[in-house]
Amino acid sequence: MRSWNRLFDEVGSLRAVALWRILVGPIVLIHLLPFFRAAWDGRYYADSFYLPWISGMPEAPRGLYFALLGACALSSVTLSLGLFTRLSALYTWAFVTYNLFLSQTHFHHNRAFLVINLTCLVLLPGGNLLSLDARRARRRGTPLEERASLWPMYLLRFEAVSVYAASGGSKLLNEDWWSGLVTFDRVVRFRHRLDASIAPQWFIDLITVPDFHHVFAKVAVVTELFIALGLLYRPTRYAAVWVAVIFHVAIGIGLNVQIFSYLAIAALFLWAWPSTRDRVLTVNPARPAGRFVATWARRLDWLARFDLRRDEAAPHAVSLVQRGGRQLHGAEAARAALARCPLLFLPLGPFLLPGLRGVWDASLRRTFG
Amino acid sequence: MPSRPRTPLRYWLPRVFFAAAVVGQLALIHRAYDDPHKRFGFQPYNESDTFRAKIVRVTRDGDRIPVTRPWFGYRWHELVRSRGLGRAHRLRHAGSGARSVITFLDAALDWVADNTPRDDETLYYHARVVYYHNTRGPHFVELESKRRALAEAP
Repeated sequence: MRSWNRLFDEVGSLRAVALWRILVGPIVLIHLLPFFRAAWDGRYYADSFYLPWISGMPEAPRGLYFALLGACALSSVTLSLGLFTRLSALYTWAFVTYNLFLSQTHFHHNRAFLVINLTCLVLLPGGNLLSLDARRARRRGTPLEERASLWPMYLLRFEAVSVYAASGGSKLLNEDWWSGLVTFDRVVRFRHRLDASIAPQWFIDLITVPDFHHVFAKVAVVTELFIALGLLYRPTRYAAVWVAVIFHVAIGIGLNVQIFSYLAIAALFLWAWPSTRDRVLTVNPARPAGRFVATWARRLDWLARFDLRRDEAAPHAVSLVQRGGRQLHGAEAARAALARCPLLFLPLGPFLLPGLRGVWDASLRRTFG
Repeated sequence: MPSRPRTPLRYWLPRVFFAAAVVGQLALIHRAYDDPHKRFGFQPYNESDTFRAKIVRVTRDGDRIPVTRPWFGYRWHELVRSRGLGRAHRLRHAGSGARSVITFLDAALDWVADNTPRDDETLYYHARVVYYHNTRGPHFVELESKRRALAEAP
């Protein structure tokens, strides 16, 4: 019960929420592209077969629908920029949701997940930082609160876990999927596209044999379930996020998932611990390695995890005091710091594994001192 | 700590919303196992189905004319554009499963019956669907649109 109440009573940093908000804007635009193309051709959803979710759903006439669609493009841009953020988020949510519920033929899982993302975004003051609203408020001398109750963010975490668990779980229970029949048949059906693609012949040969799919299907199911469970527990969260990024890049390339991969990767920001400047990164600017880490940590620390300090008398080029008080020095500190920057997280993440950690530290010990 | 004093509404509303959203999501995931479209159930790519449909319009004279031929200025693929139903006469992959496609085709037949006012000879639309579920089949389904109210023949 205490942790249930903590979910609503505790406040946390909105930094990750702001980054997610910035990414959601362009994703909404990409999701609207098919509707823009139709509008460009003068077509309106009701010109051809559509199926309302509920009878009596209010339907906008053609001209009004096009105007609402255009306004949503504008609101998704202002949402991303953080201009009149609350209003932009509300309008974007309202139109995207309305558009989804206009016709059951508009339904796709990625659009449903977008509506859920936008619902949570509406409930958060995501424009309080990294936004034009925040800049204007600072200029007025009334800076916006950068911390808030994050229960909608925790709700989105639940939804994200649900997506991976529901998808992986349903495939686990589906005998055809688990045996590899579904993925094999799908690949065979689209063989002509594979042959026309830039995929090398050895790869095409590999993925068009049933034996490959006996293994691949199980790996896919286990990966989704690992992401779902791994995200829930802090010790495995970092690994789960890393696997999730690879997973989404792979399905983004191999399947027609529309905006799902973009959206899911953006939502991964919300798994960052919601506090800022809680790790002290001390660099010695007199040493090139110290300057290197300081420069890149400053540029790439989008989640504002580090309290960056410069100390010319520091014995090590780089030192890091972790959130729990653990101290790291030299190559170890550089690795831990840089691997927590979102852009470097993917290439450096594996070096946090026990086996590869030593390889990094041994090769860079002399440089970082 | 809360940043400002809470009214009972501010206290309860988030809690009720959160709990309802969690329960609702779990219910939708459970329901998706029976829902042809798996709405909000997040079970994508769970089948590899293929289908083909022979769709005809049945005139008041009893003629069965394939909708691949334009009629009264209407073209099937312009009336039904989504979900791969525009070219349903060709064997094609059912991206979200054959059950979903058949449900949509059933509704599409009714929609076309309702939205082709220039046509004064078609009594109803009929589709014979052949589908393969995860390579198994063929399975057959017959669909029929609602009957259209036609003016008396001259």
